[in-house]
Amino acid sequence: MNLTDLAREIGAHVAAGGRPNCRAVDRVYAGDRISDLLTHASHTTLLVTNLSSALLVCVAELMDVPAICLVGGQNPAPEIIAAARSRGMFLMVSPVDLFETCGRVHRCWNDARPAGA
Amino acid sequence: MNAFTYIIAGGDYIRAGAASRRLKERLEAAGAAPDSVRRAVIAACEAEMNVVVHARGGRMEARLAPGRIDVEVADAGPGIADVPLAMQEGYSTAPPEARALGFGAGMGLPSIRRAADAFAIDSAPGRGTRLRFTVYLGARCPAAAGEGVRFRGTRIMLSQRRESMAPRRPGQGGPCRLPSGPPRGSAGSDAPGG
Repeated sequence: MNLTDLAREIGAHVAAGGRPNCRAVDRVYAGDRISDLLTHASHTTLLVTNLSSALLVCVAELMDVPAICLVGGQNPAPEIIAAARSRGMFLMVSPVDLFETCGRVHRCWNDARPAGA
Repeated sequence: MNAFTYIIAGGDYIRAGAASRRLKERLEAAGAAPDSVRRAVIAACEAEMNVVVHARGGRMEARLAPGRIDVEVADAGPGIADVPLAMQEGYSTAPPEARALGFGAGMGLPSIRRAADAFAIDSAPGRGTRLRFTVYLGARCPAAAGEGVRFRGTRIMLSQRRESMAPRRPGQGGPCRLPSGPPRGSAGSDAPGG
């Protein structure tokens, strides 16, 4: 799924646009534990999380994660945005909490699937 | 040079992950299979974060040998009083500031054991913690042949690595289960289970 389209559909603010060739994902993982994010992240995963730190971006980079969605309408610290930009990572901020964000993403995901898939 | 050492600063959440990133770069440069790189990075990152969270400092030493990487992470932390307990998923003594960053879920050591092909830990109160793990870099895993590896004079028996990285259900056994009745303060993944 195209990340720019997804951000628009769930009402998220795009804080860092990522690399042009890394603007699509094919799976989503939501969680707040670094160990879980490490285990489940991949180069095609969108991470949705309450966490918000430059360390999160660092861990995501380790696993080649192309995109992170922060939640709760928070204003990410400048160092987080800078870390995402320097790594070519797509960073967006959803205006709603983790549960509602996952619901919106899930709806978009289903809507984007080809009919009959 | 296929041996390298990284210094890990305890409590430094800004530079945390730097050692694992360099390890990853080495493995990718060596042409390791992506799944092997992934598993090695997961294990290295968990081990590195343990040092950052719990210790004043430590080091990561890695040796790249044909077909595998051996990693040792040693710290000058408080040590672990009950290693088998610390190996249980969900057990953690991480401070609140670490939990706020997403650590302290009690998954670090179990994740290392799960990601690596071989794993051993030695720790005691006041003596710090030293853990070692091995990840095979290609498709062939000598565990099937019953081989062991020798790293810094210590023989590490190989566990049968799980095919999937999916999390285990609580209470579910696995091929990396601790041997029954290990000496207090040490553990190795030398007991393939079912």
